[in-house]
Amino acid sequence: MNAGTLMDLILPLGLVVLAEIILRQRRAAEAVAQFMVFGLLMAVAWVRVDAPDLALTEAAIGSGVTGALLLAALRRIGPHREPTRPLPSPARLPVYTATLLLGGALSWALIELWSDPVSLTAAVDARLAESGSSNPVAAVILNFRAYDTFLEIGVLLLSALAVYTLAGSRGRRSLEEPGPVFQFYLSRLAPLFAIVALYLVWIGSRRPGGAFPAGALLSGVGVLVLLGASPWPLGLHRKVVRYLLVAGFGVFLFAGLWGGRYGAMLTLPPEQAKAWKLLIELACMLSIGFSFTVLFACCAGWLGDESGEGT
Amino acid sequence: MEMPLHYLSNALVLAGIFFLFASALGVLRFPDTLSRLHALAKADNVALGCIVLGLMIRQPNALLALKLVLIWSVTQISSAASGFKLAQQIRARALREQRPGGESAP
Repeated sequence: MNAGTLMDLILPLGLVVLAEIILRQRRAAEAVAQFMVFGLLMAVAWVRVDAPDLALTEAAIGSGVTGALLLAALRRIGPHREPTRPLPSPARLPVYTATLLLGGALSWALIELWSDPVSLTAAVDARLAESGSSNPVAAVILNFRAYDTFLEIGVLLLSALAVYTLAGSRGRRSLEEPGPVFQFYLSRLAPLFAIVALYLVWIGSRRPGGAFPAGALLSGVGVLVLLGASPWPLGLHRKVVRYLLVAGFGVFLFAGLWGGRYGAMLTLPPEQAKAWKLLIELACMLSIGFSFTVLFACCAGWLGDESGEGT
Repeated sequence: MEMPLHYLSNALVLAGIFFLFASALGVLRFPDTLSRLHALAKADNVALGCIVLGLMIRQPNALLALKLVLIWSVTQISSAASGFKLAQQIRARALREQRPGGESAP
Protein backbone atom coordinates (compact mmCIF):
# COMPACT_ATOMS: atom_id res chain seq x y z
CA MET A 1 0.00 0.00 0.00
CA ASN A 2 1.52 3.33 -0.94
CA ALA A 3 1.36 6.58 1.00
CA GLY A 4 -1.39 8.01 -1.20
CA THR A 5 -3.78 5.14 -0.55
CA LEU A 6 -3.02 5.28 3.15
CA MET A 7 -3.86 8.95 3.17
CA ASP A 8 -7.05 8.32 1.21
CA LEU A 9 -8.07 5.88 3.91
CA ILE A 10 -7.08 8.03 6.89
CA LEU A 11 -8.51 11.33 5.65
CA PRO A 12 -12.18 10.37 5.23
CA LEU A 13 -12.04 8.35 8.41
CA GLY A 14 -10.54 11.32 10.25
CA LEU A 15 -13.21 13.61 8.82
CA VAL A 16 -16.04 11.36 9.99
CA VAL A 17 -14.51 10.89 13.44
CA LEU A 18 -13.85 14.62 13.79
CA ALA A 19 -17.42 15.42 12.72
CA GLU A 20 -18.69 13.05 15.40
CA ILE A 21 -16.42 14.70 18.01
CA ILE A 22 -17.64 18.17 17.02
CA LEU A 23 -21.29 17.09 17.24
CA ARG A 24 -20.71 15.63 20.70
CA GLN A 25 -18.77 18.67 21.87
CA ARG A 26 -20.74 20.51 24.55
CA ARG A 27 -18.56 23.59 24.86
CA ALA A 28 -19.08 25.95 21.97
CA ALA A 29 -15.58 27.46 21.85
CA GLU A 30 -13.99 24.05 21.52
CA ALA A 31 -16.50 23.00 18.90
CA VAL A 32 -15.56 26.09 16.86
CA ALA A 33 -11.84 25.32 17.11
CA GLN A 34 -12.47 21.74 16.03
CA PHE A 35 -14.69 22.93 13.21
CA MET A 36 -11.79 24.99 11.89
CA VAL A 37 -9.58 21.90 11.99
CA PHE A 38 -12.33 20.06 10.14
CA GLY A 39 -12.23 22.72 7.42
CA LEU A 40 -8.48 22.32 7.02
CA LEU A 41 -8.75 18.52 6.78
CA MET A 42 -11.55 18.97 4.26
CA ALA A 43 -9.28 21.23 2.18
CA VAL A 44 -6.61 18.51 2.18
CA ALA A 45 -9.27 16.02 1.11
CA TRP A 46 -10.20 18.25 -1.84
CA VAL A 47 -6.53 18.36 -2.83
CA ARG A 48 -6.47 14.56 -2.76
CA VAL A 49 -9.35 14.36 -5.26
CA ASP A 50 -7.61 16.87 -7.57
CA ALA A 51 -9.92 19.81 -6.87
CA PRO A 52 -7.51 22.60 -5.94
CA ASP A 53 -10.15 25.29 -6.60
CA LEU A 54 -12.42 23.80 -3.99
CA ALA A 55 -9.47 23.24 -1.65
CA LEU A 56 -8.52 26.91 -1.83
CA THR A 57 -12.06 28.04 -1.17
CA GLU A 58 -12.57 25.52 1.60
CA ALA A 59 -9.36 26.52 3.36
CA ALA A 60 -10.10 30.23 3.05
CA ILE A 61 -13.85 30.29 3.72
CA GLY A 62 -14.63 26.99 5.42
CA SER A 63 -11.79 27.14 7.85
CA GLY A 64 -10.63 30.74 8.05
CA VAL A 65 -13.53 33.12 7.59
CA THR A 66 -16.23 30.88 9.05
CA GLY A 67 -14.04 30.25 12.08
CA ALA A 68 -13.56 33.96 12.62
CA LEU A 69 -17.31 34.55 12.21
CA LEU A 70 -18.20 31.80 14.66
CA LEU A 71 -15.69 33.05 17.22
CA ALA A 72 -16.99 36.60 16.86
CA ALA A 73 -20.56 35.38 17.30
CA LEU A 74 -19.49 33.38 20.32
CA ARG A 75 -17.87 36.44 21.82
CA ARG A 76 -21.11 38.30 21.34
CA ILE A 77 -23.36 35.75 23.03
CA GLY A 78 -20.78 35.19 25.75
CA PRO A 79 -18.74 32.13 26.61
CA HIS A 80 -20.40 31.33 29.93
CA ARG A 81 -23.56 29.77 28.67
CA GLU A 82 -25.17 26.61 29.92
CA PRO A 83 -23.87 23.75 27.84
CA THR A 84 -26.71 22.31 25.78
CA ARG A 85 -28.28 19.26 27.33
CA PRO A 86 -28.60 16.14 25.23
CA LEU A 87 -32.10 15.05 24.26
CA PRO A 88 -33.73 12.46 26.53
CA SER A 89 -33.35 9.01 25.03
CA PRO A 90 -36.98 8.42 23.92
CA ALA A 91 -36.84 11.64 21.92
CA ARG A 92 -33.66 10.52 20.23
CA LEU A 93 -35.21 7.51 18.49
CA PRO A 94 -37.12 9.41 15.78
CA VAL A 95 -34.08 11.65 15.20
CA TYR A 96 -31.85 8.62 14.74
CA THR A 97 -34.38 6.94 12.46
CA ALA A 98 -34.81 10.03 10.29
CA THR A 99 -31.04 10.55 10.05
CA LEU A 100 -30.44 6.93 9.14
CA LEU A 101 -33.16 7.03 6.48
CA LEU A 102 -31.84 10.24 4.96
CA GLY A 103 -28.25 9.00 5.07
CA GLY A 104 -29.31 5.71 3.52
CA ALA A 105 -31.25 7.43 0.74
CA LEU A 106 -28.35 9.72 -0.06
CA SER A 107 -25.84 6.87 -0.08
CA TRP A 108 -28.14 4.86 -2.33
CA ALA A 109 -28.48 7.79 -4.72
CA LEU A 110 -24.70 8.13 -4.82
CA ILE A 111 -24.19 4.45 -5.55
CA GLU A 112 -26.86 4.60 -8.27
CA LEU A 113 -25.06 7.56 -9.86
CA TRP A 114 -21.82 5.66 -9.67
CA SER A 115 -23.09 2.83 -11.82
CA ASP A 116 -24.25 5.21 -14.55
CA PRO A 117 -22.12 8.34 -14.37
CA VAL A 118 -23.21 11.39 -16.35
CA SER A 119 -20.14 13.32 -17.31
CA LEU A 120 -20.33 16.87 -18.55
CA THR A 121 -16.57 17.18 -18.92
CA ALA A 122 -16.67 16.66 -22.68
CA ALA A 123 -19.43 19.25 -23.10
CA VAL A 124 -17.45 21.80 -21.10
CA ASP A 125 -14.22 21.11 -22.96
CA ALA A 126 -15.94 21.44 -26.33
CA ARG A 127 -17.01 25.02 -25.68
CA LEU A 128 -14.23 26.11 -23.36
CA ALA A 129 -12.91 28.55 -25.95
CA GLU A 130 -16.16 30.54 -25.91
CA SER A 131 -16.18 30.96 -22.13
CA GLY A 132 -13.35 33.46 -21.87
CA SER A 133 -11.25 31.32 -19.56
CA SER A 134 -9.08 28.30 -20.10
CA ASN A 135 -9.68 26.88 -16.63
CA PRO A 136 -12.76 24.63 -16.94
CA VAL A 137 -13.75 25.25 -13.32
CA ALA A 138 -13.80 29.00 -13.82
CA ALA A 139 -15.66 28.52 -17.10
CA VAL A 140 -18.41 26.57 -15.38
CA ILE A 141 -18.67 28.90 -12.39
CA LEU A 142 -18.69 32.16 -14.29
CA ASN A 143 -20.17 31.31 -17.62
CA PHE A 144 -21.89 27.96 -18.15
CA ARG A 145 -23.48 27.93 -14.70
CA ALA A 146 -23.26 31.64 -13.97
CA TYR A 147 -26.83 31.43 -12.73
CA ASP A 148 -25.75 29.47 -9.64
CA THR A 149 -22.89 31.81 -8.84
CA PHE A 150 -25.15 34.80 -9.33
CA LEU A 151 -27.60 33.44 -6.79
CA GLU A 152 -24.77 32.56 -4.38
CA ILE A 153 -23.55 36.14 -4.49
CA GLY A 154 -27.15 37.19 -3.95
CA VAL A 155 -27.48 34.98 -0.86
CA LEU A 156 -24.26 36.39 0.55
CA LEU A 157 -25.44 39.95 -0.12
CA LEU A 158 -28.79 39.23 1.55
CA SER A 159 -27.18 37.76 4.65
CA ALA A 160 -24.70 40.62 4.93
CA LEU A 161 -27.51 43.17 4.55
CA ALA A 162 -29.72 41.37 7.07
CA VAL A 163 -26.99 41.19 9.68
CA TYR A 164 -25.89 44.74 8.93
CA THR A 165 -29.43 45.97 9.47
CA LEU A 166 -30.30 43.90 12.53
CA ALA A 167 -27.06 43.89 14.49
CA GLY A 168 -27.02 46.58 17.07
CA SER A 169 -23.68 47.84 18.23
CA ARG A 170 -23.00 45.93 21.41
CA GLY A 171 -19.84 45.66 23.34
CA ARG A 172 -17.10 48.17 22.86
CA ARG A 173 -14.33 47.62 20.43
CA SER A 174 -11.14 47.21 22.34
CA LEU A 175 -9.11 50.10 21.07
CA GLU A 176 -5.99 49.11 22.91
CA GLU A 177 -2.70 49.70 21.17
CA PRO A 178 -2.09 46.90 18.68
CA GLY A 179 1.55 46.88 19.68
CA PRO A 180 4.66 47.10 17.49
CA VAL A 181 4.67 43.48 16.30
CA PHE A 182 1.08 43.48 15.12
CA GLN A 183 1.44 46.97 13.69
CA PHE A 184 4.41 45.82 11.63
CA TYR A 185 2.49 42.77 10.51
CA LEU A 186 -0.50 44.82 9.41
CA SER A 187 1.46 47.46 7.55
CA ARG A 188 3.66 44.99 5.67
CA LEU A 189 1.54 41.87 5.25
CA ALA A 190 -1.97 43.26 4.71
CA PRO A 191 -0.96 44.92 1.39
CA LEU A 192 0.78 41.69 0.38
CA PHE A 193 -2.40 39.69 1.02
CA ALA A 194 -4.43 42.21 -0.95
CA ILE A 195 -2.04 41.74 -3.89
CA VAL A 196 -2.35 37.97 -3.56
CA ALA A 197 -6.14 38.35 -3.70
CA LEU A 198 -5.87 40.31 -6.95
CA TYR A 199 -3.48 37.70 -8.29
CA LEU A 200 -5.97 34.94 -7.46
CA VAL A 201 -8.64 36.72 -9.51
CA TRP A 202 -6.26 37.30 -12.39
CA ILE A 203 -4.94 33.75 -12.46
CA GLY A 204 -8.46 32.34 -11.98
CA SER A 205 -9.13 32.17 -15.70
CA ARG A 206 -6.22 29.82 -16.30
CA ARG A 207 -5.49 28.07 -13.04
CA PRO A 208 -7.11 27.49 -9.64
CA GLY A 209 -8.16 30.74 -8.07
CA GLY A 210 -11.03 33.08 -8.68
CA ALA A 211 -13.35 35.38 -6.83
CA PHE A 212 -14.26 33.18 -3.88
CA PRO A 213 -10.80 32.42 -2.47
CA ALA A 214 -9.72 35.95 -3.36
CA GLY A 215 -12.72 37.44 -1.57
CA ALA A 216 -12.10 35.24 1.44
CA LEU A 217 -8.49 36.38 1.53
CA LEU A 218 -9.60 39.99 1.27
CA SER A 219 -12.01 39.52 4.15
CA GLY A 220 -9.12 38.04 6.11
CA VAL A 221 -7.29 41.29 5.52
CA GLY A 222 -10.41 43.15 6.65
CA VAL A 223 -10.63 41.14 9.87
CA LEU A 224 -6.91 41.66 10.53
CA VAL A 225 -7.24 45.39 10.07
CA LEU A 226 -10.23 45.38 12.43
CA LEU A 227 -8.23 43.45 15.03
CA GLY A 228 -5.47 46.00 14.69
CA ALA A 229 -7.90 48.50 16.20
CA SER A 230 -7.61 50.61 13.08
CA PRO A 231 -10.80 52.42 12.14
CA TRP A 232 -10.12 52.02 8.46
CA PRO A 233 -12.54 49.49 6.95
CA LEU A 234 -15.43 50.68 9.11
CA GLY A 235 -14.32 54.26 8.95
CA LEU A 236 -15.04 54.25 5.24
CA HIS A 237 -18.13 56.17 4.48
CA ARG A 238 -21.09 53.90 5.12
CA LYS A 239 -22.37 54.58 1.62
CA VAL A 240 -19.08 53.36 0.15
CA VAL A 241 -19.32 50.16 2.18
CA ARG A 242 -22.85 49.62 0.90
CA TYR A 243 -21.84 50.14 -2.73
CA LEU A 244 -18.99 47.66 -2.26
CA LEU A 245 -21.40 45.13 -0.75
CA VAL A 246 -23.73 45.42 -3.74
CA ALA A 247 -20.96 45.63 -6.38
CA GLY A 248 -20.69 41.91 -7.14
CA PHE A 249 -24.42 41.32 -7.43
CA GLY A 250 -24.89 44.53 -9.38
CA VAL A 251 -22.16 43.91 -11.94
CA PHE A 252 -23.33 40.32 -12.34
CA LEU A 253 -26.88 41.46 -12.92
CA PHE A 254 -25.79 44.10 -15.40
CA ALA A 255 -23.63 41.56 -17.27
CA GLY A 256 -26.58 39.19 -17.37
CA LEU A 257 -28.88 41.85 -18.83
CA TRP A 258 -26.15 42.92 -21.25
CA GLY A 259 -25.88 39.35 -22.48
CA GLY A 260 -29.62 39.46 -23.12
CA ARG A 261 -29.00 41.90 -25.96
CA TYR A 262 -26.86 39.33 -27.75
CA GLY A 263 -28.34 35.99 -26.89
CA ALA A 264 -30.07 34.97 -23.74
CA MET A 265 -30.13 36.49 -20.28
CA LEU A 266 -27.13 35.62 -18.12
CA THR A 267 -25.05 34.48 -21.05
CA LEU A 268 -21.96 36.28 -22.17
CA PRO A 269 -21.16 37.00 -25.83
CA PRO A 270 -18.04 34.88 -26.51
CA GLU A 271 -15.90 37.71 -27.87
CA GLN A 272 -16.49 39.85 -24.77
CA ALA A 273 -16.52 36.98 -22.30
CA LYS A 274 -13.00 37.42 -21.00
CA ALA A 275 -13.38 41.10 -20.13
CA TRP A 276 -16.79 40.55 -18.52
CA LYS A 277 -15.50 37.60 -16.60
CA LEU A 278 -12.65 39.62 -15.12
CA LEU A 279 -14.94 42.52 -14.28
CA ILE A 280 -17.47 40.23 -12.60
CA GLU A 281 -14.77 38.44 -10.64
CA LEU A 282 -13.21 41.68 -9.42
CA ALA A 283 -16.58 43.03 -8.31
CA CYS A 284 -17.47 39.72 -6.67
CA MET A 285 -14.12 39.61 -4.89
CA LEU A 286 -14.74 43.07 -3.42
CA SER A 287 -18.29 42.16 -2.42
CA ILE A 288 -17.32 38.83 -0.88
CA GLY A 289 -14.45 40.41 0.99
CA PHE A 290 -16.53 43.26 2.34
CA SER A 291 -19.54 41.04 3.10
CA PHE A 292 -17.49 38.79 5.35
CA THR A 293 -15.72 41.74 6.96
CA VAL A 294 -19.05 43.43 7.68
CA LEU A 295 -20.48 40.13 8.96
CA PHE A 296 -17.50 39.75 11.26
CA ALA A 297 -17.74 43.32 12.52
CA CYS A 298 -21.47 42.91 13.13
CA CYS A 299 -21.03 39.56 14.90
CA ALA A 300 -18.40 41.08 17.14
CA GLY A 301 -20.77 43.98 17.79
CA TRP A 302 -18.52 46.57 16.25
CA LEU A 303 -20.83 47.67 13.50
CA GLY A 304 -24.50 48.05 12.87
CA ASP A 305 -25.48 50.91 15.09
CA GLU A 306 -26.20 53.82 12.79
CA SER A 307 -25.29 56.37 15.41
CA GLY A 308 -21.87 54.81 15.58
CA GLU A 309 -21.68 55.05 19.35
CA GLY A 310 -20.07 51.67 19.79
CA THR A 311 -16.84 52.40 18.04
CA MET B 1 19.26 13.93 -8.19
CA GLU B 2 22.32 12.54 -6.46
CA MET B 3 21.72 10.03 -3.72
CA PRO B 4 23.24 11.90 -0.74
CA LEU B 5 21.04 14.93 -1.41
CA HIS B 6 18.01 12.68 -1.51
CA TYR B 7 18.89 11.29 1.91
CA LEU B 8 19.48 14.79 3.27
CA SER B 9 16.05 15.85 2.01
CA ASN B 10 14.37 12.86 3.62
CA ALA B 11 16.19 13.44 6.89
CA LEU B 12 15.14 17.09 6.98
CA VAL B 13 11.49 16.26 6.30
CA LEU B 14 11.56 13.58 8.98
CA ALA B 15 13.10 16.06 11.42
CA GLY B 16 10.30 18.47 10.53
CA ILE B 17 7.71 15.79 11.25
CA PHE B 18 9.41 15.09 14.59
CA PHE B 19 9.24 18.77 15.59
CA LEU B 20 5.63 18.95 14.41
CA PHE B 21 4.80 15.99 16.61
CA ALA B 22 6.69 17.47 19.56
CA SER B 23 4.89 20.79 19.24
CA ALA B 24 1.51 19.07 18.98
CA LEU B 25 2.37 17.20 22.15
CA GLY B 26 3.35 20.50 23.76
CA VAL B 27 0.08 22.16 22.78
CA LEU B 28 -1.82 19.25 24.28
CA ARG B 29 0.22 18.77 27.45
CA PHE B 30 1.64 22.13 28.51
CA PRO B 31 -0.10 23.59 31.55
CA ASP B 32 -0.84 27.20 30.59
CA THR B 33 -1.68 29.12 27.45
CA LEU B 34 1.60 30.97 27.14
CA SER B 35 3.65 27.77 27.18
CA ARG B 36 1.27 26.30 24.63
CA LEU B 37 1.81 29.32 22.42
CA HIS B 38 5.52 28.64 22.64
CA ALA B 39 4.98 25.07 21.50
CA LEU B 40 2.71 26.25 18.69
CA ALA B 41 5.29 28.71 17.40
CA LYS B 42 7.82 25.87 17.26
CA ALA B 43 5.64 24.11 14.71
CA ASP B 44 5.55 27.12 12.39
CA ASN B 45 9.17 27.94 12.93
CA VAL B 46 11.36 24.86 13.20
CA ALA B 47 9.08 22.13 11.89
CA LEU B 48 7.91 23.97 8.80
CA GLY B 49 11.45 25.28 8.32
CA CYS B 50 12.89 21.76 8.25
CA ILE B 51 10.17 20.49 5.90
CA VAL B 52 10.61 23.46 3.56
CA LEU B 53 14.39 22.98 3.52
CA GLY B 54 13.92 19.30 2.78
CA LEU B 55 11.48 20.00 -0.03
CA MET B 56 13.64 22.78 -1.46
CA ILE B 57 16.38 20.27 -2.17
CA ARG B 58 13.92 18.29 -4.28
CA GLN B 59 12.69 21.19 -6.42
CA PRO B 60 13.70 21.04 -10.06
CA ASN B 61 14.15 24.80 -10.38
CA ALA B 62 15.08 27.72 -8.19
CA LEU B 63 11.76 29.56 -8.60
CA LEU B 64 9.81 26.75 -6.94
CA ALA B 65 12.36 26.64 -4.12
CA LEU B 66 12.01 30.39 -3.65
CA LYS B 67 8.23 30.03 -3.45
CA LEU B 68 8.69 27.54 -0.63
CA VAL B 69 10.92 30.02 1.21
CA LEU B 70 8.23 32.65 0.70
CA ILE B 71 5.61 30.33 2.23
CA TRP B 72 7.86 29.70 5.19
CA SER B 73 8.68 33.35 5.79
CA VAL B 74 5.06 34.52 5.54
CA THR B 75 4.00 31.75 7.93
CA GLN B 76 6.83 32.74 10.22
CA ILE B 77 5.80 36.39 10.34
CA SER B 78 2.12 35.47 10.70
CA SER B 79 2.89 33.09 13.52
CA ALA B 80 4.90 35.74 15.35
CA ALA B 81 2.13 38.29 14.91
CA SER B 82 -0.71 35.98 15.92
CA GLY B 83 1.29 34.70 18.89
CA PHE B 84 1.91 38.27 19.95
CA LYS B 85 -1.77 39.17 19.59
CA LEU B 86 -2.87 36.11 21.58
CA ALA B 87 -0.33 36.78 24.32
CA GLN B 88 -1.51 40.39 24.46
CA GLN B 89 -5.09 39.25 25.02
CA ILE B 90 -4.04 36.73 27.65
CA ARG B 91 -2.09 39.40 29.51
CA ALA B 92 -4.95 41.88 29.28
CA ARG B 93 -7.35 39.29 30.69
CA ALA B 94 -4.96 38.36 33.49
CA LEU B 95 -4.60 42.02 34.44
CA ARG B 96 -8.36 42.51 34.34
CA GLU B 97 -8.93 39.52 36.60
CA GLN B 98 -6.27 40.70 38.98
CA ARG B 99 -7.51 44.22 39.44
CA PRO B 100 -11.01 44.16 40.98
CA GLY B 101 -10.73 41.38 43.55
CA GLY B 102 -7.06 41.68 44.26
CA GLU B 103 -6.59 37.93 43.80
CA SER B 104 -3.64 36.93 41.73
CA ALA B 105 -4.37 35.45 38.34
CA PRO B 106 -2.82 32.06 37.59
